[in-house]
Amino acid sequence: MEKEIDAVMEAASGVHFSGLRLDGLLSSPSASPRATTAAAAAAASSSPQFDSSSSIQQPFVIGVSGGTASGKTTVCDMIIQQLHDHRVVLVNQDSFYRGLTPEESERVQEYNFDHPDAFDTEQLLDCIEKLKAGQSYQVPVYNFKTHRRRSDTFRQVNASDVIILEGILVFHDPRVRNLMNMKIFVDTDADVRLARRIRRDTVERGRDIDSVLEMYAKFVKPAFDDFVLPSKKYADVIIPRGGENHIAVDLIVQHIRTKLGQHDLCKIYSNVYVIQSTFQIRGMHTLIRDKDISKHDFVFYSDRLIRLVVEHGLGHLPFTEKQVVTPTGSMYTGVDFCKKLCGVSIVRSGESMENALRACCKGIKIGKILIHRDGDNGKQLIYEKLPKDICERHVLLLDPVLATGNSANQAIELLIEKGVPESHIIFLNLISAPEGIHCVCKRFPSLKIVTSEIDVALNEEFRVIPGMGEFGDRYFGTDD
Amino acid sequence: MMYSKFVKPAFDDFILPTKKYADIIIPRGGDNHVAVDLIVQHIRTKLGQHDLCKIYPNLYVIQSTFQIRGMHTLIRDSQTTKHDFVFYADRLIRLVVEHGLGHLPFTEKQVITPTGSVYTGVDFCKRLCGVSVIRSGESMENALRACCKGIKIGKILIHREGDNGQQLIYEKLPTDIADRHVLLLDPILGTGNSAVQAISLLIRKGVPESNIIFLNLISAPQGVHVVCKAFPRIKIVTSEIDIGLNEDFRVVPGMGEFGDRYFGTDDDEQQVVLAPPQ
Repeated sequence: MEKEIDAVMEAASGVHFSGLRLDGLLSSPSASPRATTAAAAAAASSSPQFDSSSSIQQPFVIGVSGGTASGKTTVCDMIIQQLHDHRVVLVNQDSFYRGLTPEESERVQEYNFDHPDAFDTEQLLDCIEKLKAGQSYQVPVYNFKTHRRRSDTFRQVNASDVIILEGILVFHDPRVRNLMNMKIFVDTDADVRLARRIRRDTVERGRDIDSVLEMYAKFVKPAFDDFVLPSKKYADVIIPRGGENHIAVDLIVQHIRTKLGQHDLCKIYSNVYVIQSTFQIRGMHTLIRDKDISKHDFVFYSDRLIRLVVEHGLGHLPFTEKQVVTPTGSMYTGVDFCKKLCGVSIVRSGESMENALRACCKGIKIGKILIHRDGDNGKQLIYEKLPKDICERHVLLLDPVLATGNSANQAIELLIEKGVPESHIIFLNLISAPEGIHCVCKRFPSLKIVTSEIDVALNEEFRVIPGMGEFGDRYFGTDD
Repeated sequence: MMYSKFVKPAFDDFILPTKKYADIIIPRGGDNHVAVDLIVQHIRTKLGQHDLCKIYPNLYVIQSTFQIRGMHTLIRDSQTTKHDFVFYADRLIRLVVEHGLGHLPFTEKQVITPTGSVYTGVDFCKRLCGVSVIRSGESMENALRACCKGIKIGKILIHREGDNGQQLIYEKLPTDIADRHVLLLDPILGTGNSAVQAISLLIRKGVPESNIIFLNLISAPQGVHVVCKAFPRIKIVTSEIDIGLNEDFRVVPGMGEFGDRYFGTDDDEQQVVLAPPQ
């Protein structure tokens, strides 16, 4: 008995069939997936990942992969249960099995259901793209007995807050992978997985143990080694022990909750922080955006908002632990501020933020950068005056409106040239356009942006809309 | 040499086997922003919520940052100068006031921006007033005025008489206070006794319980229990919840007598006696 299994295992470690190569053509299994991957990568790079101008809330897409019987489904179920107050849909890669042709059906024993080609990846891609765009999708229903898709019925999947895509090979195709916000690999030891698989197939599905082992050795294990395991490297998080791992699931659920409450851009760029909106903040924004507001009120409410942005920005500075004794004689374990700090305002609008910064940090050094727009073709830096030791300081870069991001990038580049590490720069805005955030965050991924609101887009004149007009003119009263 | 002799065997023998105890595994280390973000968010959520907030949904602790923690460290330090104490207390109070204002009701409002676009925003609640509990509460009036121009501010004085009870000896409130949302100001919530008296007075004047927002800089759990149990619909906004009260009913670790430190009356030998005005 044992010898037999060993023999089967041995035999299976060689060449094996893929789903589409049943016609006897034994093509090298290592060459074909690589070719597919390369072609797919090319396709992926040519198509944009997201549409920045769309204002709809994008769903959060999670991929869950792992070997057979690793506990993927248990992990997904736990996530869904804990996210009960959100709309969550589960899309299973199994639903996208290609139907078998009559010839394939005849030799179903030799068909490899664990090979990437056994799935209709184009359709899966279409499904996730549609769901991501907020449309519903008719997911095919696959009949595991006849190995065909049912023609009479579909499963209607509606647009949701969270889309979970589960399957052994969901990380295989780069185009599918790139649609995911988070990739989870459920990692369970092979012996545990095989034991589970044997129990599942014999007890629940009434198969005999020999056929289960043969199947495992012939298809499941080689496919795992060739396709599933190599895709593990794309995972963001690996969950050991699968469904028993409550801490990991809890961690993931908390993360999804936070992300769902956030602006889409914060999901993409983890260094973008939008201050928590309250009705008061929204009310102040309503006032400063109103074209009919008096100059006095504009300045008053801008100042209040700027103060909140500055306070939030200061919260991102590093710290050291410090213990003090209070007047009651108790010990209070607190923190000591980062002392090496300076502000840099982008002339002219950025100067409106200096007062709030000074109100929070007594005697702070403030440098200036002036970037002058010279016609349409490019920009020119014409003035800078920065603290000499700026490279040793954390820099709060001040500019109330982030529009295209071009002048911001020039200012940041200048700071980096002066020796300021990218991660020591906190860029403070009152409103930011998505275009500007993309532009700055792609170029400087370690820089932090703190803003009070992210607007819809830029118009054809590169002004932020809805925006608040020319901030400097309104704040300094030079608009009439 | 070093690697093959010690590092690798130690890894294989001792480090790798401990991997099975990990709750999650982070591939690619520090470059993996998704995973690091995930862990940071998780810790933040776990830290961010005080146990009391889970019991009383109307208790709000402003989100702590290192800056806020740093300001608290300064105002709690017995060695901090009066000038610094006032400066950082004012900054913290400003944040508490802004957070408190965020709990006021609103109405939707659309405006046209200078670019000609429509911005759908909100209109403030206009019927508003502050009420400060004399003397410490008065330290919060400036921040409230800085946020709400020309806001009406009423006063309540509760005098502690010996151990057995407190007496309300003075109040001056806007006559139409029943129609207003009230921001009740007192930087320290200790036993909660004087707060309960002040809130009872507001309710007697016709202010609905749910229209009161009580603003604190630090709150003792005892005071939170007393106030939230007596007035479950009142909102409390605070910047930190402390450990408890000592045998003298002072908040620990606390920051001492707030009024004395803020108004600079803590170096006087004798107890300052507040004469009831009028």
